[in-house]
Amino acid sequence: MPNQLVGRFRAVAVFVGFLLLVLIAQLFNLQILSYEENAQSAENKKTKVITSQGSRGTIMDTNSLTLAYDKQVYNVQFYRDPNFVPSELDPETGRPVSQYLLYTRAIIEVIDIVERNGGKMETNFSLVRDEMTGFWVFSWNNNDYTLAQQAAREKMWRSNFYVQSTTAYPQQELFDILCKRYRIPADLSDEKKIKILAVWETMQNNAFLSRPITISSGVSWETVIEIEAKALILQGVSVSVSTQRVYPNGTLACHVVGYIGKIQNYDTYYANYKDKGYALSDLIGLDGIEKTMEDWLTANTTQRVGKRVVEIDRYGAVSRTLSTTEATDGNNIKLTIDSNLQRVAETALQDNIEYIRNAQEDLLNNDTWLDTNKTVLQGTDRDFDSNPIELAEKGAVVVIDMTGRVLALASYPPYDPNAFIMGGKVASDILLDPRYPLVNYAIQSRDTPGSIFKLVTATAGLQTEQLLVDETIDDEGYFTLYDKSSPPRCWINQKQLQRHANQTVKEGLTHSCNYFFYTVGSRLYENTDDQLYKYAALYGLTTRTGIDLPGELQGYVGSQTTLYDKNKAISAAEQSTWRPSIVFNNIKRHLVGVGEKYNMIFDETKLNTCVKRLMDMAVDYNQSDWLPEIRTILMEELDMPRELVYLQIVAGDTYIMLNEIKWGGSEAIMCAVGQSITTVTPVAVARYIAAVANGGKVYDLRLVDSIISPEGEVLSQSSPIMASQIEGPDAQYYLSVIREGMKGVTEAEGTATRFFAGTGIGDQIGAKTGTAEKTRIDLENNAWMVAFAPYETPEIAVCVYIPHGYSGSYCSLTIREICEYYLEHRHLGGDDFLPPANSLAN
Amino acid sequence: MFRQNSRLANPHMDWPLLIASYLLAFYGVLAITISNYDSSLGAGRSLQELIMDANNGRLQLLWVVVSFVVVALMSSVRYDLIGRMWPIIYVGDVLLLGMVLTTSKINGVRAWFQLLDRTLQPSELAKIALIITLSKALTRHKGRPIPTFGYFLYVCGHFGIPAVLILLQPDIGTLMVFMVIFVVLLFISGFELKYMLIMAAIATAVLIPVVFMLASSNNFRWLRLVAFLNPESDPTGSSYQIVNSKVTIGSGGLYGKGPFAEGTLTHLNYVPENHTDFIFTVVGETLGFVGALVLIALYAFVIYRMLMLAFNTADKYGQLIIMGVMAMLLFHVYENIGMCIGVMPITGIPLPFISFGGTNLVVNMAGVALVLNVTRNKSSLDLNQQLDES
Repeated sequence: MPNQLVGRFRAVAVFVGFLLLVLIAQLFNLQILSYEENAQSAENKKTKVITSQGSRGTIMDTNSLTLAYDKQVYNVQFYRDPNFVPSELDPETGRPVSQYLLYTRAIIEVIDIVERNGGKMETNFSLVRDEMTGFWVFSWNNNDYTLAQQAAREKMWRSNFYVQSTTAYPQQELFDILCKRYRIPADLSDEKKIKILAVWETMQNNAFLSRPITISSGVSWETVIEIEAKALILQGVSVSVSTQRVYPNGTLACHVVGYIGKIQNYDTYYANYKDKGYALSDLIGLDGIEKTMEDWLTANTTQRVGKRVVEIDRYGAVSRTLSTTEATDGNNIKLTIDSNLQRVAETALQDNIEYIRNAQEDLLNNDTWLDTNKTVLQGTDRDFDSNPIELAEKGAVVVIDMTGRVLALASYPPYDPNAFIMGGKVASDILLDPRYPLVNYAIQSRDTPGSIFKLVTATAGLQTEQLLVDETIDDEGYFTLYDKSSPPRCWINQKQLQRHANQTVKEGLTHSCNYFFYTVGSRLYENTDDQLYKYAALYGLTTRTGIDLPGELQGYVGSQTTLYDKNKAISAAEQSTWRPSIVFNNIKRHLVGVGEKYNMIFDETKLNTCVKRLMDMAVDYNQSDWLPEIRTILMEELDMPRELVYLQIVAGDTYIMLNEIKWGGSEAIMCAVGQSITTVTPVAVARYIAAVANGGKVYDLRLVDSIISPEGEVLSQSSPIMASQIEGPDAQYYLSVIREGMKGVTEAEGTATRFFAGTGIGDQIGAKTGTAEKTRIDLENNAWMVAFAPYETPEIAVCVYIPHGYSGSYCSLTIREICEYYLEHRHLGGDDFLPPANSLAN
Repeated sequence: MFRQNSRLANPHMDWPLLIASYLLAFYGVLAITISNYDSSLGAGRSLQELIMDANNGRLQLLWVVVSFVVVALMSSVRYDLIGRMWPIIYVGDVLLLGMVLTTSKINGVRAWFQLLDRTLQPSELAKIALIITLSKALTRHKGRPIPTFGYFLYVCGHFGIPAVLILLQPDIGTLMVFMVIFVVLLFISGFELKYMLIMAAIATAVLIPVVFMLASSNNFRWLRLVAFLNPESDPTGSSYQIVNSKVTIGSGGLYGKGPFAEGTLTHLNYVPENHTDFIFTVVGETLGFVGALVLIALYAFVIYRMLMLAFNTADKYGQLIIMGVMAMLLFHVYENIGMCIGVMPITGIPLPFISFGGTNLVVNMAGVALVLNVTRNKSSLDLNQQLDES
């Protein structure tokens, strides 16, 4: 053989060796070097975790009556497996047919099954044909979208459908393009085609979840059977079991129970829920106990969600189950609410508001009233067209026991939480109601208390011995100590002053005499170190009650720091009210005006420093020392010439403005009768009344009686938490005197006497009315009324609040209903005729 | 490595080659049985029961039996007599390849004759036919195998006409096999290197624009062909098979998951066609690196044995036949395993002796039989040289 050929054989042999080595090297790489990675990847490919959820916990009242529970429902789901290669071959090409053909076929069938059995498809196609023009337009179910948001939605939509290019896929042709892509038979009606595309749209929008989407929920049993029977041809369609929240009593205790709904947005989800194991589509408590007790109630956390790890083949079919963890249900919550009392309270409140509204409307058409209020109605710059007189239309009532258990809590108007489960118009009606039914006025309204605050003034006066129990004070008409030009006076007609003569604290309360409490308030202001504020705080009026509901507001009570706290920034966010920032701006504007008049331009920073220094000075000095101080500050900070600061319009006007933030005698006596800047919430008031009734113990409010596991085990039982206490050697005696004064309110001579005459309970309860002035129109007064019952050994405290309720005594209707019901039924406790909770389950 | 070996140089029956080939065939039956394994039939069955329970395994075993007959036939007629019948073989080959183009498409390709419930793929037979006719053409002339340009065109015709017919099917894989056989035979025949380089240059010049055209057209076949270069870029499209195939083989590790283990990607069908083109994934996953090495070692033995036999065959015609069969096997093995592990593009080329299918087994066995025919019947001298010397 020629040498040349030997060489060529050698070359071939070497080449063969090289090729084989390449193969071995790559095999070594895949099977030895990258083994872990590939083994893991193989594991991920073939295993899938299928989650299942138990039921959300039940919410029940103190007698184990169900207020919210989970009902099992069946849902139709659809899933497109991107890897699915149909085994059916296309006779034309010999290749497998498009998966879309099989999926669309299944969708057509399933729409038919669902609708034939009375179900409804939940999917929505965002491209709709305008009936007028015949053009296809995008519709996002949200009319509030800005153009930019609409464009973003369209972009997302197009990207999900892989039709990004607007030139290649013009809007008017999208429908036909998608129909063609998804192999939708051409002979179907457009309506039907849109229904099919709606399923595809939802699938594409949620493709990243890699799990089935729900296309119809709560379907009938017939639908389930038919789908199961046709499982083989219904490619991608499955039936799942889920639960649906039901509030069997509708509006009953809606503001306590709350409602559940979708997680609002991605940010909330990632911040609060993802790590706990929730899926983005899970429902969570959005208000009420449903929200505050979410962690106990939910079945969606990692610990409670059931997991089945399965092995799936290439087509997504489960070949075997590798491990199973059963889902566990959420825990049940037993409330302190008594449904019967709650129902009485709700009905009474509604009737009461309607009663007041009718009375107000009568007055509006009453010549005498119109005549009396002529100056008020004509002499203001208020535009009654855009800013009409506000009448009673909202309200709240709270009933608690002596240890802070909330027995009933109602806010009017109520709403039906089931509406949010159903969605649609019923839900949007609630959201659009101008009375804001979703607001819980019992915890989320903060308003001027009026005379119901006088119990605090009385307590403070007696405790500090500024007021003696036997001491009498006459109503002398105008209270001229602080303001001689337009002094305040009591509400009583000046010709009947003798009715408020010789009053001890008891009569003072019964009469609700303002003059009496101006006197006490004045003494407390002059002689003590802000003791009125201290007792208001002790009664819990400046703190939250800790009730197990979201969004409770905190009240505040008048004092220098409430009016203007010089250690905090001036903005309303830092201070209790807007007043400091208004005063700040007024003084600033005033000084700039002075500057313009005398050709001076002030540096902005200097101006700010100057005004702040003026305001702080006002807090630190008595009014009598203000003028020289104002002049000094203006000269130092703004380089004003001496002759300028001595002008009345410069320093004098500044003085008047600074008065607004100075806690002086005028403010203090208004505060003593529950006016001024003091605002409180109905729940805080209820807690304060309970403290008056129970001997001074202020308990935090509780709505949850106990938490009970699905097996019936009591996991947690709530117990009273005392927040503060009115103490002192004579505290009990003083409180009993105050209660006596309250007893008089519903008896003869009281402010609510006429509403209790003949009811038989007027002498069994203690009460206090409160009418807080909001505007110069008396119809717009806030109405408050508080009570405790029974008088001798108080068991409940009640607070009724009706904004623009005209007169506190009008709230007697609600107080009456509740107290009558309670006094009649209090010895028939739930335990007497019902077996103890869960004794049947064991 | 290459020394004259008198035992191999003399006419003999080469049992090692035959035995190694049948070891491969039985390895194939095992692999097919694994891919066809149905765990629901219960554990504790013997290998024989397992094979008989697996439809494809049973059928493949039948083909192994059939292949005995083919081997017997192919090695009974002297190869030089077969060589003399080349015009008949050539014409028959071209006719079959032409006729198959009139059939209807299956999987987008016109490559099969429907015979009852079986199919016959003439391009498989065309490989053997090409080896015979091309070897004949390249040994007609003493001294330089291709003395003139005219003869070069004649040789090209031997290769070209069937190749064009195959391109029309279109069957890129078989076309590549044709080209490999053509190049190897030219190389071993002693065709001048400079001309081969010129051919390579011309081929490159022609291919570059074609590649550019395909690359810019996003043609489905082209995407599938180049998917292996970057399979992660589109794991659900063309390269889905490659990603799954690589992961499946890689997850086998050193010893594999065991042939009848539960929950293998093989049994969950993650790699489509895992009893035919992707049978190597079954070997890789269930029998591991060791099992794959055993398989590659068997191939290495068969290929190198053929190389040795060709080297020790004085008869030029016989030598080229052996080299042709070797080239065919080599390319099949490299391309098929290479595609499964992601170093070669995906083409429809089966793994010789292993992939399920009668044609594959029979054609490869026929190739082996042809080699055995040569070693048994060859003269110890080159016939051409004998002619020269006499």
